[in-house]
Amino acid sequence: MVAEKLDKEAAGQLLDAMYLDMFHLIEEHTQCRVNLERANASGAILLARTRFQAGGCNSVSKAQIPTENSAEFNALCRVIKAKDENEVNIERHEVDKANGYVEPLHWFSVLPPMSLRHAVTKFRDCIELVAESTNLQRQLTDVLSWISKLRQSVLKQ
Amino acid sequence: MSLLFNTEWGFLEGIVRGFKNGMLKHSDYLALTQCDSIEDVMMSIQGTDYGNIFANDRKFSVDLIEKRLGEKLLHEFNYIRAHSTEPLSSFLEYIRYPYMIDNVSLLISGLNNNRPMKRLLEMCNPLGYFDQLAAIEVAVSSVELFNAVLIDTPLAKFIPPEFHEDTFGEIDVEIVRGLLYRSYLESYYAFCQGLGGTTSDVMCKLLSFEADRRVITITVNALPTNLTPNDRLKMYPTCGQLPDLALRTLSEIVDYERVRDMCNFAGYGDMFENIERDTDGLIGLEDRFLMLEAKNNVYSYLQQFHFGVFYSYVKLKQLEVRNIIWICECIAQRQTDKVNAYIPIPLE
Repeated sequence: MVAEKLDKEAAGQLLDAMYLDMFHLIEEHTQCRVNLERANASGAILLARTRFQAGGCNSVSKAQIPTENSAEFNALCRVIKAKDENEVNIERHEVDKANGYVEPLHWFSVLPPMSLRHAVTKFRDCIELVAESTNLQRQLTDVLSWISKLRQSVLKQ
Repeated sequence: MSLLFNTEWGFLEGIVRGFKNGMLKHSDYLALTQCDSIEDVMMSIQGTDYGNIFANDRKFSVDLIEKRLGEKLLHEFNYIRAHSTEPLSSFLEYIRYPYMIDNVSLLISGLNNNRPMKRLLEMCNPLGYFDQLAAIEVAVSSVELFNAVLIDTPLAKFIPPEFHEDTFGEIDVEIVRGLLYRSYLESYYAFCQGLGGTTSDVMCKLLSFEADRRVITITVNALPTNLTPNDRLKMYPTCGQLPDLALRTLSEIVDYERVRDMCNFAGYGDMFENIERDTDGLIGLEDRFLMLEAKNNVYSYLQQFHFGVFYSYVKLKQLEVRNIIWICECIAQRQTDKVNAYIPIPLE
């Protein structure tokens, strides 16, 4: 009986720790989402600023973006599995036009203005934040799953 | 000269001064920045000199607003153009050439990405329409594109002599645009000089500022790229106040601070100073040039009996359209803290 009581206490402490982890993860995940929203909004307003400075919507336009009928090219940025199978990482490739790794900025201009370059930085940050958010989401899902299992095993006791 | 001017163009100068007086004032901008939605902005615009331009529209979007504002300017420009005689007619055609160059660049970019011509023509600036624009689609090689785009169009006179049909396809669209624009600006400058009188004084000042602005902007934008000094120099218009030595030096500079020093020396140092209104880092070098351009264009109205008022009206109206679209974008994206980053036009 004493052993049972000790087991329950240990399980309770473990559950407390896991709930604490859960709250920390929720906080980090929410903050990550807020940062993502901010970076995306900054990028969008910088694109609008580029159009304002260059004059008209055609300076940064849909017409300049490749379609499915355009020449093929390779992505500079890929999502890959990290060493820890449950996490994802971003793999970035150097620009290498000869091998199909083109700089997307050059679709719009070979002399891009500063506002467009800043927009590129913001959208790059967005990609990093999306990967971070995904990893946090997965960790949170794992913690919730463990909490659920632990609660069920404590109840059975 | 004033009597001779008025017999031919006095009516049109009066018309354009009337158009200019109908531009948005500070109070109109205040009303626009306080709108909560695109629909509110459209209602506010209809209360200005633009009138009921959205009467038949049911869907509300930033693109639609830009299109209708552009149509209003086109209508006013066409009215003036239709009533003009030489040399004002040629002067007004010169105002349209940059938009033609932009349209041709857009079409080449779009066709390179296999976009349908019909959709691309809808995206073109109506001020830059010309009959042969749609003929670009039928070109299947760079040689045919060269002939269709440049030889058989009003832009033919701006082709630099070193352009060859064999190498046209290898040059980036932006570089083609830069070379055409340089040639256009120098041609316009020579045309205005030939007109003489107040038109020459006012327009040469405005165009030389435009040339210097192009030089500095190309230099700054080319700093992080692999563009060679020779390629940069080819795009620099030579009709500005910057001397040839300054142009050659700027073409070789690879450092932002040295560009700044060079511009200090040439009298454009203020462009690189920080301004108090800029709290978010949104106002850059191009914006400061826009502010100075707006001021210079307003000053052109202080003199009478010259063609510069027509040029200045189009430039100021374009800036006004950009300001309205900026305000609309901020409202549409729910970033109203940045709504005051438009360029005020000092009309009052």
